[in-house]
Amino acid sequence: MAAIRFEAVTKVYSDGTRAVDSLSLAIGEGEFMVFVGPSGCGKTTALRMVAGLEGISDGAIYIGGRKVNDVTPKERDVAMVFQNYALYPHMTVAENLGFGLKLRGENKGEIARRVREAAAALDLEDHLDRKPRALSGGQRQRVALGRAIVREPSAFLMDEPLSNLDAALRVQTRAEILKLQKRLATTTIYVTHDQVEAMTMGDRIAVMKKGTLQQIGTPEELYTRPANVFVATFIGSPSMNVVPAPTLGIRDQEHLAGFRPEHVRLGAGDADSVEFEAKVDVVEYLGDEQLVHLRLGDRPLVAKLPVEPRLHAGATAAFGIPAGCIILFGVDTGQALRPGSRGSMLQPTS
Amino acid sequence: MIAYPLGRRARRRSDPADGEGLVSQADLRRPGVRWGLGTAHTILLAGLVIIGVGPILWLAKSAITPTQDTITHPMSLFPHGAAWSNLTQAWTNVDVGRYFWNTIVIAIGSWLCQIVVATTAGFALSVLRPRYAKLITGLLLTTLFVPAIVLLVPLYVEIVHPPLVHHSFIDSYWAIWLPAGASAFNVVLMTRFFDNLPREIFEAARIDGCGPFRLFTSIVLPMSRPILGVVSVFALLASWKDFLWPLLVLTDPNKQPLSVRLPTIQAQTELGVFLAAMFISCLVPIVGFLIFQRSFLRGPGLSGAIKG
Amino acid sequence: MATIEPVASAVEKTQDARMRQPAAESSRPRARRRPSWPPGDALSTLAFLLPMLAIFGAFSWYPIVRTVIMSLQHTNLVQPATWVGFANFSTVIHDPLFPIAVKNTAEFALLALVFGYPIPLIAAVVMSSVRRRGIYSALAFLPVVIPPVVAVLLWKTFYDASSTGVFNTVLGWIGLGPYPWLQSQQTALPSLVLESTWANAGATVIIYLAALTAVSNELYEAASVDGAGLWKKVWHVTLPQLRGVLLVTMILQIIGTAQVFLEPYLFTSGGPANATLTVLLLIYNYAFGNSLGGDYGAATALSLMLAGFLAVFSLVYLRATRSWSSA
Repeated sequence: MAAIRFEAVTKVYSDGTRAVDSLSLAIGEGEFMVFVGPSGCGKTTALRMVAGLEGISDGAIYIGGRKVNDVTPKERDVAMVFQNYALYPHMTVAENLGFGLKLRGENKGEIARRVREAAAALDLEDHLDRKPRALSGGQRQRVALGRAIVREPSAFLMDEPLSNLDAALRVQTRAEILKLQKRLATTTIYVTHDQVEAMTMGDRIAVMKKGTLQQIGTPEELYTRPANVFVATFIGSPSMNVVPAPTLGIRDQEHLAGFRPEHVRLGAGDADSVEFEAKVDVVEYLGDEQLVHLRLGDRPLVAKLPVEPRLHAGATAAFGIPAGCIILFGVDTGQALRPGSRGSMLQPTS
Repeated sequence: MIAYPLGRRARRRSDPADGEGLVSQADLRRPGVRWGLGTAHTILLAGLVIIGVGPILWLAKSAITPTQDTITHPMSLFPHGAAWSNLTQAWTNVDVGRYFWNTIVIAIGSWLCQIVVATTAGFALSVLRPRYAKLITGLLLTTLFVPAIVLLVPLYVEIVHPPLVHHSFIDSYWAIWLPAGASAFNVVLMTRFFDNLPREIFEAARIDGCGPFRLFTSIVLPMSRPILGVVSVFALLASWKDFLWPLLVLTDPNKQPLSVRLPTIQAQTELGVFLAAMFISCLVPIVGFLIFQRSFLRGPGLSGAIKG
Repeated sequence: MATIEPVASAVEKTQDARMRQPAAESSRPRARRRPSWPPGDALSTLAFLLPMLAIFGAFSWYPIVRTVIMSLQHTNLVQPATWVGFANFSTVIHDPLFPIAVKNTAEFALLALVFGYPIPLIAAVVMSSVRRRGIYSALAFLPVVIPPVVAVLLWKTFYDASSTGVFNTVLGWIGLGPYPWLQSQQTALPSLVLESTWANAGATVIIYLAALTAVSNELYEAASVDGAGLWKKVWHVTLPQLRGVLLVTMILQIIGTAQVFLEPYLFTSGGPANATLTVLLLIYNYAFGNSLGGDYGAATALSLMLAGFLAVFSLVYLRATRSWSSA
């Protein structure tokens, strides 16, 4: 179990694209860190630099306190789980699991023992003699996991391992991966583009966009105190409503106001709320709540309201948001204001 | 999702014979079309049998027919019984057995050289990808377009007077095995196949700790069985058919393969025995073809894809 | 108002980006074709390339260079070679056998095209409408598998000009012949073409068949819906789709038949009276023949001329057919 540290790590390709730009962060021993962001944000590149599959253009990566910029993947003692599993098609499950150990010169008995343990942990015991083409997607994914576990490495690196599974299997496997990681206490970097996965799995999450780190923190921190508009709208589903402050009646040309759908209340709230009137476009009935798509002027908003009273398309109603639930972002920078940095920041117009 | 190369090939989705292709269900309902197609099929089948297999069947029959019968009544069927002695005579007296063995030895050596050159070069160009790969591939492709005749004379002179060694390679099998490896076609085939292997498997192997040699032997070669099959089949077949080069380079009759000896045998032996010898030389390619049909028939499609 | 627009669109853009499920990022690096191996391993790469470089260097690239050199020299393997400029080329062009060989080769290629080009196509089209075409493919390809020496010598037996020769016997059943086959100047070359077609057409059939089965069913279905009958479909769907393969096969066949050697060598040794003398046979005679033999200069010069001609021909052909071939 090793801590991993990025120090101003940069990756520039020969055609000039900056896949990762001066990334600095620290991952603690045994921590489950999630790199999340839209396609092309650099999360996979960052992961591959830790693995040693990509060279580092600038900066340094430390694994367990040792600088590994020029160390071969084999020497780094990390294990990787690929999105497409990358199982050796001509080897049986048992051989796939044991290959890394065989290359490191472990004796046969030890290899057999570890393979058996991993197979037992992942419910693969009945499949040890099969080849990958005889396995289902979920089973192949578990073999890919098993290959990583068997090596007992300093860190797990997982590159979107669940994205090829169907939804039900994904949810189930998510939990299994978490349980496994908690039991083994191995430092893990997990890359995904799915913010739900990030929120449910990570001890901490690093949100990336276009090669730069947007924010790093616990799921709760990211959810309640996003650092900028991007993080605010990326995390959470349905995403946070972000509108220019004047739209809500706040006299402030320099900021955007953000609020989560679940903080919207029907009807004018208490004196501490920002109120507005909006027209109902569409109502999505979810059984235990309703997602109401509103239109305020020409701005679309989403509100998550209790099932009763039911709203209907075309109606106009008054809504309120507790002032404390509104986050202000700079119009130009997109950066969030720190709470309390502006006194009674909201002067709702009547 | 990775398409595992060793898995069963997927059924072709569109097959013109399956009712909705060139001949649609509606077409088949018209009796004119059905009748016309049926006739065409029959004529084609008959034609293929008579023209394709006919000569070979004749050869088989004549191989065990006494020479006199073959000369006077070539199309009749054993008017005076069969002469199995043709075969045994061919094998022993005319020494077809020895030439048969020579052909096999030459074929295996050539095959080995081709496999070694093609797999190592393909691996280097496709997986290891050095910066000068483009230069090498360019040189390779130019040889594809040079007709073989251009190489014949200098190659011969090279064998007779090798530049560094002062010792002729005439009558040595190395003079056939080594040049056989210079097949740009094989290298291109291998490179293309390796290009289509999923890169992630190589990365996984690298993380597991594979160096290039281990990667080659433990991962890439085992995954290459289909293409190795195709290359092998064509290498062995080409070697079996080879005539001019062995003719030039092997002057000692004891070392010559069947293809080179057959014209001489024709001149020196009676027709029946000669035909028996010819039949024996056909056996290996024919049987090989019947067994490995799939690899054979895949080849022309591949070469069409590469050159076209 | 101006500042709100870009930010608003930025907000909407991020929301849109989240709605779109992005393709997996790991597929992108493939487009950049980065090397899979660290550059420090240049030595192993070289080790892997060594067999190919050695074999090709010795038996492919070096001979090509030497051919050019030898065509400009007079060699006799005993004394060192002397430079003679273009004398060899001149010798070849002024050789009375040269125009004969060229004419025969052209005639062979043309006849082979007439016989060996349309027939495999028709056969392949018919075969593509058969369900179990494995047996057809096997039968068609069988002659290709037979060693050429066997095929030629076998047909030499068939071409026995006496009335008890195989072909003459069969033709005699329907009252035709007996024909002189290889022994007449008029019929010798066509006899060669016939055997050559028999031995090689099978490969062409397979290539056509592969291309035919690759034509998407949907095109035929669209044509059917548009009202096309069988012939129309062949004309408007099959043949256009096959254009690329047809053009390539034609040029390959021409290049192949221009280099015919075995048939003239084994059937007739170029006779009767040089009626079957081809360019390749002439080259062979220059270098290794009993009467002329040993003139490596002339042999290499002629082979370069042939290679040059084929190269130019191919370029002209490709240029001329560029507008025709698909895509």
